[in-house]
Amino acid sequence: MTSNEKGGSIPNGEEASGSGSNVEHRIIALARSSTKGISDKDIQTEIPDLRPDQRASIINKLLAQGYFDLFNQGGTLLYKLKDPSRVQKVKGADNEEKIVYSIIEEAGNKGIWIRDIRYKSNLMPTQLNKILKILENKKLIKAVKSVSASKKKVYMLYNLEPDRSVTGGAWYCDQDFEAEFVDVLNQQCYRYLQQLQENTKDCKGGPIAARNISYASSKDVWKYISELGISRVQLSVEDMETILDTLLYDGKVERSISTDGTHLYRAIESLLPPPGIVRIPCGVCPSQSCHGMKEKCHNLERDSNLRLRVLRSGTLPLSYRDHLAKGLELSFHTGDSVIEYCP
Amino acid sequence: MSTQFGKLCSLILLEHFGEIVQKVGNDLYKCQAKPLSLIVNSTKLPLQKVKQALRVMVKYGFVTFAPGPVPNRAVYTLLPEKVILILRYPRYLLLVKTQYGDEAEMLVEEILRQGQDTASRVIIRAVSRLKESLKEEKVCLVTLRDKFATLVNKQFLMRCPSPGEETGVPVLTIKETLLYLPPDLNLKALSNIEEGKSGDAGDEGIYWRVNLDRFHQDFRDQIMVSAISRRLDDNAGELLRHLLKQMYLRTEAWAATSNPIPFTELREAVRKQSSHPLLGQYVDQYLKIMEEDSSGFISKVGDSSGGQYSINMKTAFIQLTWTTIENIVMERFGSKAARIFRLVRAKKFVEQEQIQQVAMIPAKEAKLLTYRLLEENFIQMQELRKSLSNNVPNKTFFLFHIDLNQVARMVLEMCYKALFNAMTRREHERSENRRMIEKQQRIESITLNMREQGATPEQLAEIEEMLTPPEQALIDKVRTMINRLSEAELQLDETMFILQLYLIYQL
Amino acid sequence: MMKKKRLIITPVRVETDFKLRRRGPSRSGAAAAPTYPLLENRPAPLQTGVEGEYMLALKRDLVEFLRDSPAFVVPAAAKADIERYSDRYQAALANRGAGELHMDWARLPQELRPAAGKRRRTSPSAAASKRAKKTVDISNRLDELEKKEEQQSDGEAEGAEDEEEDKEAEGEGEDLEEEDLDEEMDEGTDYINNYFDNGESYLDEDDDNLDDGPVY
Repeated sequence: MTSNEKGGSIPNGEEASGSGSNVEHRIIALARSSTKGISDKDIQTEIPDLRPDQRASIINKLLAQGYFDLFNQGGTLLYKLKDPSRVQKVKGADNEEKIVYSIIEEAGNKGIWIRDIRYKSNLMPTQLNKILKILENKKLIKAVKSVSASKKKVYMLYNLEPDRSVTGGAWYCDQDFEAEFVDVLNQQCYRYLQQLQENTKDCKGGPIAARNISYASSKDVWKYISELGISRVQLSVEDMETILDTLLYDGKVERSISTDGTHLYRAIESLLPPPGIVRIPCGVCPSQSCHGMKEKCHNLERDSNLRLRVLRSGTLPLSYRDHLAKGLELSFHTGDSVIEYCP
Repeated sequence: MSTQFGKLCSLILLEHFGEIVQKVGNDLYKCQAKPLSLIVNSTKLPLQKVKQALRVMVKYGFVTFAPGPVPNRAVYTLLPEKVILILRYPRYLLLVKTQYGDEAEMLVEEILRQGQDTASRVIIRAVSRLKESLKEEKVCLVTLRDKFATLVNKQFLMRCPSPGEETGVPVLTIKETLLYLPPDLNLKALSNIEEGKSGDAGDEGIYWRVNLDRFHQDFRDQIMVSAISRRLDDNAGELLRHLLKQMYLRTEAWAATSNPIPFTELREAVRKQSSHPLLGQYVDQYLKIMEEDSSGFISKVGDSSGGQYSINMKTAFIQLTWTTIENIVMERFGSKAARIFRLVRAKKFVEQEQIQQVAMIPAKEAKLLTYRLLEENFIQMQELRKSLSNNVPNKTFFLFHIDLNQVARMVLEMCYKALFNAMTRREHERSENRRMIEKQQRIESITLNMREQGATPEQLAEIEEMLTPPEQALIDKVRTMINRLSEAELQLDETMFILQLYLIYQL
Repeated sequence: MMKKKRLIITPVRVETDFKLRRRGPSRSGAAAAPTYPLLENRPAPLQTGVEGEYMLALKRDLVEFLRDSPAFVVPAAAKADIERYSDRYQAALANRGAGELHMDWARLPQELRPAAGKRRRTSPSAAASKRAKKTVDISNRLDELEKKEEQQSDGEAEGAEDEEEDKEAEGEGEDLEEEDLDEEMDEGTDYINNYFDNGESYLDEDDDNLDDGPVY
């Protein structure tokens, strides 16, 4: 099983920002020095030890934060520092407003928490609140509820689409995680894959053909779910993979990667039934302090959903064992495992 | 070894061999090896009783001895893991019954009951029991002798080492060539003995015991085959069975990985069977599927002779242990916790933040479940201080991970404890309701006798009424409970078996 | 992107096998967790089937066989204590210890052999001797009685339970002569008085009152 590339994108981004803030500044400085923009090659010459993937992630981030405009010049991509004239928008505003605006602008589409603005701007809370109100009214900035902590608002420029880490993507309504929605999708996806698995029973083309029938790509599942119409939100194929991954961790499906790199999923059966230890109350009981049963553990007493025929206690007549043994033979031959003992 | 293990061991000795043996066992459990005199001192038991107990435990293979510091005095060592195996005796017998028939079962049972014995005595006793149960006059001695030989050839039975020259502390040895050499029995004498006359079957002094590891080998294979049958289908299970057979032709049974098995030979073997026609048709495809399955039981190790395959025993039991523990987490904490557990397994090291994101569980719930798993030692936490750049203050990360070895040991402890609890409670119920049970048994035996003597239904009903309905209800309840607990003990052993085997493969 | 109702229909009732686990106020600290808590999850059902029942029968047979065999070592006599102690064993005690442990004594250290030298080898075939027993039953019986008398006159344990025990006791004389160690040990053990006093019940120490349970 391979790790989920997509799932890893968010933390990777964070990692890059942690280790790369210096690099970011160097890239911005480089861009500032060139009016016609800089190319990947320029960055590479300037910072040779930067790996392409790191570079890509930093560039993406700077693009998202609105530092760069992207141009295509003769097949080469150029990053050009945005005209600082946007700051002109705040024209007519006082210095404090400008400072607050630039702090918020810097935060990009991930937004910034009011306390951090205060910390960076050194403004008094009342004053800051007033400025934020003004900027909001001018539709220069907006407040967005973040999913990472309830009741926590972050500010960002008005025209930005909030980052997934703020909205939580498709799985959040306001900042509430829609657990029920996820559960339903989880079940529907499983049902679909199970159905495919069922279909293999009629497959006459050999085991490999049968197995291939049971596979579905994330796109297949996405299509199925879209057609079911249980979601009014437009879900992406990536969203579907997120759900399918929960099934993977439920141990209900197996994921493999096809030759063209798409993810394939199929329903699987666990290798073992629930083990013996959890068929006795002690296996699901957190008690550390019980020793034996002197004080009568009520859990052991309670009838589980088991109907065990009452065996003779005391001396077991040999004939009874024989009787059972006959049943044993019977069950081996017919698969029928129920016999009743009537003395 | 843990105290829980010791307590269980002690309880098993009590149930099967009485309190004297239990006390001597307890005493030996606490130390490596001990001479007779010190056992007597610390147990405060009479010398005769200690001797009796030691004899029993030596006979059943629970205690070994070696020459001690004092000449002609032995030191004794308890083998608690052998004691615990008593709980598995029914499973051994079921296996031998289903694979080798009733006579074989009887033979193995007779040896298990005695710990060790000579072939002739075992056969004679088996004959008389078979007569009794089959209600037949004649049970064929030759059949039993042959069954005995088969069990030896298949290595289910083995010779006990025998003493060398007479010393105070005998040294028991056996040549490897003799270990699985069937006994040479004088049938005529055996038949004389069987008829109550005297005779010498010619095997005096040659003692046999049950080779439990051989049974474990079959259990192991059964578990793997049924796991593959569950995951893929019966044909795949059957194929694995053939692979295992091929493995034994070229690999030591307990090797971590089998030597390569050539496809051509495997196909030949599969073609000879007729129970699974589809398998014969698609051997290559089934191999491919099994090889590609995440269970990882087999892998392709070469291309010559149409492909070389090997069975990964060790990997298989790592997988089965993971599955066992995942299933335990599922039943114990619910499906969301099981999702978190598998996620931590897959990611190796993971932060809380990522757990809730990937598992798609609301943050609060995810945190709660993660910490419960941590609290009950199903997952572990590692602290990591990280200072990457100079302008970020030191940050501490908490990474969750799973130490499978540690969790497996912990679950094994859980099993020991659960077994102890079940056995204790079972005996408690039995003793508390002893009078009632005895009364009921008496009534039952009277009823049985009277029925044999042709009593009328009215008479029978009259006797049965001696037990009032509330009494009957109570007794049914107690019996059901006792049976359920006994059944649970047997099923618990399945979990223990997988975990024990996993740990053995880790050594 | 805000305020959208995600769910149009709920085709199945979501299986919530998870209930948010509040474990009561006492859980938060290391304070006493209940010894027998209410279970949040029920155990999975036991597997049923003839195989299980058959093994259950085997399991019981084994225990019963051993309990009636000489391998089940019982304390000699001590009748006064039986009432208190052995609710659970009384029935078993009744016909316990019949016969002797079949064993090739040469496989044991000398110190464990019932009577050194005397009984090292059992008769050619123990099975044969078992059969033969019937015929010599009467003489055996007489021997037994004789030995019993002998022992009683020695003032040893009243009502020694079986033949073997007697023979051992007899043999013990020899042991003592040979080996001082044994003598010391025997003297140092006043077992009739001490035996039931030790606290090593197979349960925990606090389990004593188990035996004082309800009496019917």
